[in-house]
Amino acid sequence: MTTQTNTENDAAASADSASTILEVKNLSTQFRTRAGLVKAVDDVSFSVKEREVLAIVGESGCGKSVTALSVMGLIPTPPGEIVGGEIMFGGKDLLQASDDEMQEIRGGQMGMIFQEPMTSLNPVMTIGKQVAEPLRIHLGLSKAAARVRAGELLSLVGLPDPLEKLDDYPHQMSGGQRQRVMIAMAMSCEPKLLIADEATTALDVTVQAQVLELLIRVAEEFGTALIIITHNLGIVARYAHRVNVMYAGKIRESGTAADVYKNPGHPYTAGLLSSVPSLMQSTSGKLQSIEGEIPDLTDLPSGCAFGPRCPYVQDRCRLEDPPLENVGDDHISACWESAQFRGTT
Amino acid sequence: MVKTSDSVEPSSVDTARIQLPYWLAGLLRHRLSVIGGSFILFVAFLAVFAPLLTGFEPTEVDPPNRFLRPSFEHLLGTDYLGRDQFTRLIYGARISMVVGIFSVVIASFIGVPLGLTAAHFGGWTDSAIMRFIDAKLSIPGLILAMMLLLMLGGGVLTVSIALGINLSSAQARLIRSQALSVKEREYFHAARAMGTSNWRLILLHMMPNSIQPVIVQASLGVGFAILGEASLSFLGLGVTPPTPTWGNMLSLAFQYMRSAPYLLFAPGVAILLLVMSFSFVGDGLRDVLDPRLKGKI
Amino acid sequence: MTRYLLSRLGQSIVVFLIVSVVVFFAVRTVPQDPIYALVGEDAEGYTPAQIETIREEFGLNRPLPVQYMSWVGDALKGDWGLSFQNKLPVIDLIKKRIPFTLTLAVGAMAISIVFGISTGVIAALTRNSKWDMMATGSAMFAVAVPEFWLALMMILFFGVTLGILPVYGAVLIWDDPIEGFRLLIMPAFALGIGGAATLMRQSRSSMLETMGEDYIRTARSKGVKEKTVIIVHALRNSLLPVVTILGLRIGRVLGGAVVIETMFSWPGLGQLAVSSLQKADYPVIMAIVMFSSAAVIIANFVTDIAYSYIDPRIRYA
Repeated sequence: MTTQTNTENDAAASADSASTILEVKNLSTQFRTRAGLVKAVDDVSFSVKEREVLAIVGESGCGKSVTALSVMGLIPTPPGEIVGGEIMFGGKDLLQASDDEMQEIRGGQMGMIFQEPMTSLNPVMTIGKQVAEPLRIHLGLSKAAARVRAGELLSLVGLPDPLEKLDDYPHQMSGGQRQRVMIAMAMSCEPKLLIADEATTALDVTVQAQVLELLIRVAEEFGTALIIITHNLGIVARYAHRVNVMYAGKIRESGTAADVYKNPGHPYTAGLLSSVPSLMQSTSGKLQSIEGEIPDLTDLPSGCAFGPRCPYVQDRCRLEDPPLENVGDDHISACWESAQFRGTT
Repeated sequence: MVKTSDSVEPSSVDTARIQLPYWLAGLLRHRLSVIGGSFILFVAFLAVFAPLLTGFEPTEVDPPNRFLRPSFEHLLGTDYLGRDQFTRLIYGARISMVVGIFSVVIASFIGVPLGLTAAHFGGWTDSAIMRFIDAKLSIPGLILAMMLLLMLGGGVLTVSIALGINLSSAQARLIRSQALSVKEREYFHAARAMGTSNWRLILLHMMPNSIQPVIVQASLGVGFAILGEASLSFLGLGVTPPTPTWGNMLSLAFQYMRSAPYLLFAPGVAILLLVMSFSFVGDGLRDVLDPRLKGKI
Repeated sequence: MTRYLLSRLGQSIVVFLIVSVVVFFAVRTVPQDPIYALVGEDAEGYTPAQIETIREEFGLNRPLPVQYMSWVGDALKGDWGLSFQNKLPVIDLIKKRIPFTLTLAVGAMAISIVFGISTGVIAALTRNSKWDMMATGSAMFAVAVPEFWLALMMILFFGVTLGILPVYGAVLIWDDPIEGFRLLIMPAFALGIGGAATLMRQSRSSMLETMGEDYIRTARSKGVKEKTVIIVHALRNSLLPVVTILGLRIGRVLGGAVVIETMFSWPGLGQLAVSSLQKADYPVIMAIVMFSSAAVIIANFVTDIAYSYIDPRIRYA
């Protein structure tokens, strides 16, 4: 806010939406691999408001996790590199922030939960120490105070005998319990934003729902905005306010969850929806999946990347990549044929 | 996302495992292996054609010309008896190469059957074999080799046996752990369910599927054996004077280091480079045959 | 945990017994008749009857199993017999030499650990940098270099050419710290550098693997400082496989000590092993082998305990 040049922009931004906490503009992240340059995230823009639940959906390899890691500043460099864009968080462009500043933000104002509960916790450190770590770093709690708070957090996330669990090691717990620990850890400093990257995918179906409910409940309680990254649209339908649909490194559709569900603006979204059982469709149709495979990110097809798999593909799609355009109130989509295709569904 | 980088490598490796030409092609792409392999071939050439490459005999004594510094006539100089060092070096290569290779062959012939037997029969057989191997491993290698040499007498073959026994425990352990995982595979269960005999199970199903690491370990083992032989002949054991070996050349050079320090270099460098070459080839083989072994061997 | 330790202890004892039996019988198949170690090469001045008397005196005429049992019985009482070479009690010979070998072994291990782990970790953290290349390159040399040749080069350079380090002899470090240390440097370095290379490679690859683990990313996502990530989260995990190697190194060091002690006239067990093996001095050979084997077995046992202590997954299994 204090820098001279940015004052105007900031003022405009804050006037526009006082409650926007994260604004990603034109983010591009690339990976150098032996097979070539992978544009994992290509010119992605979106924003998250306070207390909002945003879902980012897409198949694996679409760039949703890389987007999250870019926001957290956790892209492994090399081989990865953020080559352009801005990530505005708390009035600061995180891409310009120093390592020290990022360390303060990570875990303090922004937390993340990962997919693999079995490997995401340090196997040789007690649960108590791991949960206490961010409390000691960001809140400056003493060892004893951090331990007490860690116990409270473990009970908050619904672990039985939380005080005994403090001295346990990760291998003594089930996957669901570990993911609860991850939630306790990520939420310990009551961050403004929490990113859950496929946080429930690796869990049993029954446990998935419990952990998700817990995540939503704790986020509400702490006033934390959530980014849920998933390939499961069922989750999105129940919990998300907004949805970003990603494909091959780009956002292809974005809107409120209700809009996107009722009236998808992109054939890819429609395809994803039809592969979700018993949510959109009643009982008649059998479960459909999208034909074809995810394109090779080092060698994307010309034009629309979804073209080769799209049932509505036209000549134009093969030549020009469609831009994101309004297809409704607060609802954008990148498809040349969206009008025609929406007419047919 | 990070997976993109992973998914690039294995495909080329998988094909290498199926066809032999690719196997060699893979090794040829491994730069250090090519350097190591070339040096090994070079030393082998020197060893085989030694009589044609020098005008001297390795044991030819020429007292008037003792302690000559390296010159055009004596490329590496002469020792305290006036023997030509270059001649002795290339004849010494014969011992190192032969002992190095014999040792790992012997090690494999001892280690592979032990490891397979232990893995296949399990239970008491396994425990007994493994305890024997532990016992062997608990005796420092060089002391064990020295004891074996005293029992068996000196010579190229006995040195190879002594060093082979030393190396066999690693082979046995390695193939045992591989074979234990083969034992859990479906095709092995299927073969067993059809009533295949123990011998056929071991020889046709277990061995071919667990032998790869043994090949890698063997190529790395050659280097250890060469080092072991050099240490033994440095101590005056095993292959004994006047037969030249790199180890006993260094032992003599040690005694005369003040009058002829130049004798210290060539044999030592030769051992170092040859051992390094075998380890390069071993590393290359491991990367080509089974990259998952990285860190295990 | 207790069960695991007990079964490991049982295993160790079994292994030790196997070593004693095998070595006892193996040593006695040596073609050389040890009687000549007692009476001299050509038995000059001894009548055959006198030779038989000596044979009986040392119990060499009894059946081997009987000899073994009595050896075990005596050994347990602390009587390891008399050396054939000089008729001194073996236990005294060994006792005098153990401190020297131990000093050398500890020195060598210290060099291996300090150089190996630090360069390995640094190389991993600066992957593909000049540092990494240098460390990895030197390790390639150090693994392949013969210990005794490295010792020769050091003797030539530091001992003969520069004349700054003594080239032979040994003083115990607690008798004369400065001279003891000066005498220790070269042999310990020659003996430890191979281990340093092995440890360097292992800790490098292990550290690289650990730094790619999910829990390292988790730690970073909590805002843990990079230094803390490395020291608190990565180091302990990546040292687990390194610890296993340490136990195995003891055997290598004791074996290497045979050559190095001989070269530096270091009055340890290795030097004694060479002279005793040449003379077929059974009681001394037995004692040395049993001692080194015990050292290795104990080292491995201690490593296992240390391992299970560092890794809770084993402790609570």
